[in-house]
Amino acid sequence: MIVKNMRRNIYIFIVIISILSTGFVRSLNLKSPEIINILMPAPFAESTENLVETFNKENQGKVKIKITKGPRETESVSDLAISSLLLGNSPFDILLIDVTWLPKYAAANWLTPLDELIKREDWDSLATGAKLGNTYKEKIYRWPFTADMGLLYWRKDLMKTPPKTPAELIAISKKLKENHSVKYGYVWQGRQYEGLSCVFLEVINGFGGNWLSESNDVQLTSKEALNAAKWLRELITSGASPASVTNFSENEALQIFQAGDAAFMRNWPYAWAELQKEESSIKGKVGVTTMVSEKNVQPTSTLGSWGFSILKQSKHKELAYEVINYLTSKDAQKELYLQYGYTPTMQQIYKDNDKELINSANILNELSNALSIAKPRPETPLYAQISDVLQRQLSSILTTDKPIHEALEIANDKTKIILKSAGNI
Amino acid sequence: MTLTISKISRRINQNWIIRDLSFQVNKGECLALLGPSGCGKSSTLRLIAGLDSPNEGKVYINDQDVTDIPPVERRIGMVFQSYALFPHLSIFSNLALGLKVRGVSEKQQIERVSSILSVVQLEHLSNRLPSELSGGQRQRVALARALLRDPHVYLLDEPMSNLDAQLREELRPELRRLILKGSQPVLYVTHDQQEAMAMADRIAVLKNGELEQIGTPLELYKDPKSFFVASFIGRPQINKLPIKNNIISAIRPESIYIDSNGISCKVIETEWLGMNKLVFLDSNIGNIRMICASNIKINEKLSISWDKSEELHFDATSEKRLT
Amino acid sequence: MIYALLILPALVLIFIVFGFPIIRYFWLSIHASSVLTGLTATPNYGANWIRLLNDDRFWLDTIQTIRFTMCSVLIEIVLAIVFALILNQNFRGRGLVRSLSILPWALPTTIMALGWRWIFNTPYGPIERIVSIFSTNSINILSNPNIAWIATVFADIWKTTPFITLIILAGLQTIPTDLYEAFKLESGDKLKSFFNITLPLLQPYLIISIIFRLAQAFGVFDLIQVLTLGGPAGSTESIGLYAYLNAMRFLDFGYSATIIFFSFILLSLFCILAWLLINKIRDKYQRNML
Repeated sequence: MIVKNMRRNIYIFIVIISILSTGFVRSLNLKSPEIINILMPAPFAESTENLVETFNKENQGKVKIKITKGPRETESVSDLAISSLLLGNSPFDILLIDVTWLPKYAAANWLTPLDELIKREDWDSLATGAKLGNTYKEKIYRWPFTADMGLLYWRKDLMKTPPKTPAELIAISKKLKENHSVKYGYVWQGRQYEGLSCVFLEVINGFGGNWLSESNDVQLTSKEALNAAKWLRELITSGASPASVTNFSENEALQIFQAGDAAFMRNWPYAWAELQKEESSIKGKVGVTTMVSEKNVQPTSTLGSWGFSILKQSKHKELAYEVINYLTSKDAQKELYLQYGYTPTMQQIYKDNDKELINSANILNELSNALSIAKPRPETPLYAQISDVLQRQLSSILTTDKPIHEALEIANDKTKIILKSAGNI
Repeated sequence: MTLTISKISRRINQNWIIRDLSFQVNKGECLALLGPSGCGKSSTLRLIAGLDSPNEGKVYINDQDVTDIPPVERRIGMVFQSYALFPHLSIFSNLALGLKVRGVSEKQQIERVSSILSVVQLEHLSNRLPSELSGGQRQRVALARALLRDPHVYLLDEPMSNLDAQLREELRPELRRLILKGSQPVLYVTHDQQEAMAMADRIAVLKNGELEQIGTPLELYKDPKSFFVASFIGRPQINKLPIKNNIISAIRPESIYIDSNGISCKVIETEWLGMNKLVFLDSNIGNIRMICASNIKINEKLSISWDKSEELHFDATSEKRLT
Repeated sequence: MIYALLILPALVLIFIVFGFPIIRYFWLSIHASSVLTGLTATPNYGANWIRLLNDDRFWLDTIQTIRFTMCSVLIEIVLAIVFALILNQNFRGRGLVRSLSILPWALPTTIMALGWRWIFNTPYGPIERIVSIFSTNSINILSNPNIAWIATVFADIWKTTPFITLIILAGLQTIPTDLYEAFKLESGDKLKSFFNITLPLLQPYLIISIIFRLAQAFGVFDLIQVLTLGGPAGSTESIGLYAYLNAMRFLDFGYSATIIFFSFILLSLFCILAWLLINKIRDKYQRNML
């Protein structure tokens, strides 16, 4: 009897649920907004939550932004995006992509050119550095969301002015270490991964050299490249940087700098926000500048920006572009800068003298300065390959006693072969 | 060569497995440990082999106290109920292993294993694995291993219980030829009284870890000290007569004969024994078993009697024999 | 003959799950399929294979992968036997210890690798802190191309030994105790008992463990991806990581498939070799022990 009763109750329950749900579905159908699905790395998905909520409220019933929160780690997001794209029917309309992915994705035919959607005056409103890294074969495939530049963080409490040249950086580091002001001099990203390529780009340019020339010739065997690599090795051999730097990514470097154990750190703007937190032992003692360079050579900042691309298969491209416009509007950029320290991409924001922005213990001038000298990494669909080749050789320069010129020659040759295979792409 | 155990006890937690057990097995003698399962006979064997140690009491081999010395130094030739042959080794290697680990030279290993294989007539199977042998063959390998140990004492743990009845009969002479003829004392554990009677010089009957009676098969049969022994020894089982004055009287089926002046009975069941029949009778003194000529049929009426002097008497409470 | 039909569904399933991908990899390996071809496969007549044969990085990765596999499987098997023997003893709290000991295996590899990365962290990881008590030099395990691979082996052993222990423990429990007792009457040497009884009777379990672990260790990827990214100086890169880089980072599916197909052949050879070797040892034991 109990079983029978239970069964009857379940029937009643199912009937009620289905009545309710059909009503629910019907009410949804009445409005049925267009859904714009965006894949973002987790930190960006979290920081844009408020913006998205506001948008969805304002456009209720018409457009709805749906954020898919990707993994935290940059390259894992790429893996997820690529896997979904390879399967053919990716659920996403928009991807938030890293600057180095763009040529690859564009060459793989996954992205929509945005030229027809972008208004001339909008493009002109971008800061110079923010315009970089969005095009492939003279077509625009990406609208910048936030710029990201390599910065040199220094300790205001240990020196009056930051070093300007590579030699000064080593000298000050050694001095501060010797008089026990800090445990370590300069911490940076020496692990065999993309961060090492970013570091190297700044150093080789700071020595007056180039990774690839304007015409895409490999220049890793130049005198400047050799000097740059020598300097990186010297950082370790001279004791200016700890040997363990060869296993550091951004977080390990930040961890040491934040603990007050280092005099200098190379890192991205996000570190600034971290260093302003209450638990940071050096809050208020940190200055920001650009990477050192030889006399008479302009310093360089590696560009690592994020931007929105619309997938070819998206069914609402125009709507998607509107959503991008909203998320990169002046107000949105201000809010994200104030809350999360995201570097704005709009030139006007740096010029406005906005009290709110200037008063928030900000580094807007330094960011603007860095953005003006920002340089993207080589723009080729085969970037991942050539960066990988360079990382391996740099890592062996830093962790073995392989002759530096030999390592650079290998990197040079392999890069040439890779670029040659690309032909006219 | 002798084996003596003296006042041995073993318990696990609060349960006595063996209690105050003593006996001696003399040179060349075969003593059967007989009793129902769980009476402690296998445990006794393990204590002697040194696989377990007693809580109290001593074990002597050739008058030497071996209670605290490891199994290998006791020189025991043991046949396990499961035979315990090494499944991954050929018959040859099974036998040679013990010699090898004791450092016997290769040449000697081959010599001795070959000769023992011919004794048990298994030369042709020396390259087989145990799993490729029949039960009887495996049993002979186990015997060969015990022989090869050249032991001071043989311990046989239900060596035939895994074999069918016919094979058992066939192997009995084999066992006698190989082991019982030697000068070593043999301890033979079995739950089968027939086997015990057939193989042993003396039988020790165990009950609940205690020695019930020890003696020659004939002594146990003729002169059981308790009703337990009387009913355990002798087949068909002894007849228990109605209790009078707190006395159990018992008479063996083979002592009963047909006598027209005797107690009248009715045949309720018969079983063929071969030459004659085991007959179950219903009478006013209860059910009686007897052995009769083969022409008896069910429902036949007959009268029986027996010689009063053949009767055995036991105290009804202690079940001990009255004399 | 009709019985053969009965296993047909199983065969079809095996083909779909195992056969199809392998054939697909082979097909891809004789095609160019990368960003350069817009991800469409065009035949390139063995160019991938020629590239593979001349790719010193691939051969270095192969040697490194074999080194990783051999060391980690060998040490794991030995450790697992020791642990299984301990766990097979009777002691108070055995059940608890048995269940706790499986924990490292239950942990996802990426999480465990993150943990190890922190343990090896310089200067804040526990290993460095312990070393700093005795010496002012830090050992920088993950920064040294000569020893970083040992850290990867170590982490792998830590994770997978419990699983092998479990298999071996199951094997130990199938060995009848009277075999040990029979041996005890012949020799009191525990070591001899182990080598003459335990080890040979564990053999089927060892074969399963070794072949299973060979295959798993040979394909190591996630552990290295999190712990070292193949660095420093490429010293910990495995074939699996190289194949992954080619597919997911370089979008060069043709070459990635070539690497995978080749390592499949290599692994098959390994497993056959291991199997033959173990069988040979067994035969030696059984038939001609002398």
